[in-house]
Amino acid sequence: MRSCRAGFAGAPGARPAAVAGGVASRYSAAGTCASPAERDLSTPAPRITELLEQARAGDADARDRVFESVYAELRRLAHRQLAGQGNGRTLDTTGLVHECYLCLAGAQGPIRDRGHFFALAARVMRQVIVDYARERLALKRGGGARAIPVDDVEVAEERDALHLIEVSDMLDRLGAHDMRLAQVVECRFFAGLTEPETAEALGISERSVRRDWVEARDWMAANGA
Amino acid sequence: MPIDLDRLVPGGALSGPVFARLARAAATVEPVRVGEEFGPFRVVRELGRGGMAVVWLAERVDGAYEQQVALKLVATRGDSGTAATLFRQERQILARLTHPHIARLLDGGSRADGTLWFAMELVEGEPIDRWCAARRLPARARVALFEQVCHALAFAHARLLIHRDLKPSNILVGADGQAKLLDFGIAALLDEAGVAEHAPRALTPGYASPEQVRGEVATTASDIWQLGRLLEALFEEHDAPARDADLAAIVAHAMADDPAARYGTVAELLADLANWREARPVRAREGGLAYRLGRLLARRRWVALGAAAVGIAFAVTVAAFMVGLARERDAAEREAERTQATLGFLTGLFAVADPGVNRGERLSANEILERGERQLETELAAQPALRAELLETIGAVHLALGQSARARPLLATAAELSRGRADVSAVELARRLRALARVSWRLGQLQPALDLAEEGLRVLGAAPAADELRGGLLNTRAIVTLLLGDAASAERLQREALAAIEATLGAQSMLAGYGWNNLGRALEQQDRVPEAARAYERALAILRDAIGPDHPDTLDIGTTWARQLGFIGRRDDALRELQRVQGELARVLGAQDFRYGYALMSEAQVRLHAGEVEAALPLAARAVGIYRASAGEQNLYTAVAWETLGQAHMAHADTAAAQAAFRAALSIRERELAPGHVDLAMSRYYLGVALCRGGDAAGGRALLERARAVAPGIDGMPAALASCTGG
Repeated sequence: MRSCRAGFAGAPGARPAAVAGGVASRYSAAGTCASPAERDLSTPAPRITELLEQARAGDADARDRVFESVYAELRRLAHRQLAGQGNGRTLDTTGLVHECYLCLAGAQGPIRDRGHFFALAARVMRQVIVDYARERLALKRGGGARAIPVDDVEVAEERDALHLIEVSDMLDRLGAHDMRLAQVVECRFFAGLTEPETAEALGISERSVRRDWVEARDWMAANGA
Repeated sequence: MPIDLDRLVPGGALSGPVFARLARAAATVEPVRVGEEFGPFRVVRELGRGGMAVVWLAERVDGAYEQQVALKLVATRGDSGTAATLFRQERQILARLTHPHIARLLDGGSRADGTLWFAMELVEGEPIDRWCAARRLPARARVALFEQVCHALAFAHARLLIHRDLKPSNILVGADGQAKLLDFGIAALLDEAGVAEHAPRALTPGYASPEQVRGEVATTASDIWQLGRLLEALFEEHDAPARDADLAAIVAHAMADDPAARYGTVAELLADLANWREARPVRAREGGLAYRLGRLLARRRWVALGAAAVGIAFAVTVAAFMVGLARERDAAEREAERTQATLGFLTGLFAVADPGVNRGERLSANEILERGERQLETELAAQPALRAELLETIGAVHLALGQSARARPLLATAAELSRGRADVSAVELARRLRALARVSWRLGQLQPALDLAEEGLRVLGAAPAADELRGGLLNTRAIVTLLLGDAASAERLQREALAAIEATLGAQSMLAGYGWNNLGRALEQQDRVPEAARAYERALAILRDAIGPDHPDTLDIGTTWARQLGFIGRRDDALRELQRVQGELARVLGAQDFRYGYALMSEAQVRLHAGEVEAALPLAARAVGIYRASAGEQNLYTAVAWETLGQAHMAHADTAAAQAAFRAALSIRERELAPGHVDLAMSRYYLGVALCRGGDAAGGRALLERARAVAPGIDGMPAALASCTGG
């Protein structure tokens, strides 16, 4: 069985520095990634690197397939995480996301541009989450049966959904003003990337990440109302 | 709403309840594993994936017969219950979508985790664009393939189905050069259920019509746009032949931004392609006439109106279908006036389907049709000829949906309104009478069916250019006469019908094929089995060409022919043919169809005839199950299946089980047949014999006597009566 780390170790151009190692040891035990048997290698899974490049070149189909891979992986990992638990099912959601990146990267063979993968994965995460938020909201409002939230959990979920959509919409506007600020928020807020990961994703220094994060928050506070 | 800065923290989107729910929802979907079962299918290996769907090769779990299918799994991120419910509602319609250029949707359902699955006829082939490119097909051959797709779509539109996701990868061309359209009903279903709403692949980039891109409801006009796009794509690759100006005009006309400016129906597009092939001027370039007429009559305005207001594709489709039919039939000079009235009617139909009017309820195709019917009564009372025409049209939609009982009253009114009217032609009246005769026959109303067929022939007289209609009426008259129990007259009538059909339509025409089949049945009824077998063989040879070797009717007649072979001692030939037919039927119609049951039942009968009792019983039992479920508990064909099962039990000397089966057959026939019908006598005879064998001499004898009163010539009767005296 192939572990996540094996995939990373072999990746040319990947920096085997503290970042990758640290993340892997924190979130990913060997064996959580899908084994070749589980993936059914008789039909090759889409090669993430290639798809990422095509997606970057504006190929919507490739972007969809990246989306699909991320979602499928998320699904598989979440399932595994919950399978070992009893009824008090809680998910380590941030860990889940990191595992998802690592497994996708690892199982697909060397990724030429790890930073770009993180950046794109962050965009995919944002899309997955915001789409889902819209879906939940539409379900509550359009379903007809329950126009009014019935309990605190639903109130909280609705508020969370609205907030996520609002942040995403605002990122679109922020992006028009300064693309990099929006990307930093995407990586940090939506994908839960660490500062070093975000720096790698965007090809900037960690200090720039910290500075951009503060600036982006200020902009959003000022332009939010 | 201002941003909540307290929550704008690293990982903030992952720590809220929305993501927690997303992760949990994701966690409930397990990956598919080899060997996993979906309904009656077990997955074997993955065939491909794309977007939100994965396609697996799957086979029957029970191994009852060879059937490989393509199993499409669609991940849903919401509640898949709606889709599953919709699928159940539409299943019957989808199951009837049997067309040589449409891959059949066989079954479907949802897994416990919400994943939807659809089992489709397995098609091996290449996407249409790659097929054309690889063979460097000339323009005409490309258009000919494209026309196959058009025919499939026209067929589906007439059944209130639109595709919504036409693209090269959905159209495979097999080694035989035949195109097959995949995924019919699936895109529409997912759209309707809303499960694919935010899926990234709900729309195929480059293949979505402008209105679909805008998020409006897809209509037949969207399918026509996609057809235009497909035609364009077939000429896009590097080495493709040049597309001439006429073809370009056809593409442009089909792909007009405004749905109202496109071809109104697939038939119009096909007609223009025929113009192109014959080098006649294409309508798309006439600019003037077609466009002016179309605009003037505003005959398509409702398409746009429907798309905007209705919120359901069905209404639009029904309307498109009806107008399409109406216009094709209308004489040009009457069109303007009538189309205006038709338009008023259809606009009314949309008003009821408008969520603003109907409080947002979803209307099924049937509800829309019903409202249309009610409206016809009130609004067109002053125009009986037009009302008759629209009633006939709605009746035809019901028939296409397999709803004979709903069609009958409409067609009856249409015929009633048409009789004796100067503004309804003899051909129109005869056509309505034939439709009514056929639906009456299907509903078992045999005497009215015979009267109507005869009336139709009288009305039609020697009217020119009506050979097809006349031949159909002659066939109907003969078969109904046979079903009424008069095999000798039926044989004479059918021979006359065949002579007329062969003289006018040709010996290889479809109607000749059906005629030979009818003749076979008349001969079989008279126990002239070798002659009957030859008639069936002839019918088969004709229909294989005329309607295709895997058309359900051709397969059905194959079953009948094989059964005759079995009865004249050619057991091996019979079983070989039956097994071939069963395989085809299972592939084309699935194993729930009563025609598959018929093939099983026939095998049971052949085996009983050959003395293979052990093999016959389970076949007969399965046939009964299929008939009860698909044809209905009270259906006359179900009675035949019960009777076969009874005979199998008798052969096992299990008289109690045989009595139960014969009783079931008799009770159906008592309800459905006239007291003097020969089949009723046969039923009493069988049950009588079974009662005698079981020791109830008095009861058995009474039944045998009643049977003898109607049918004194039953072969085994004297022996049965003789053996039943002991008590």
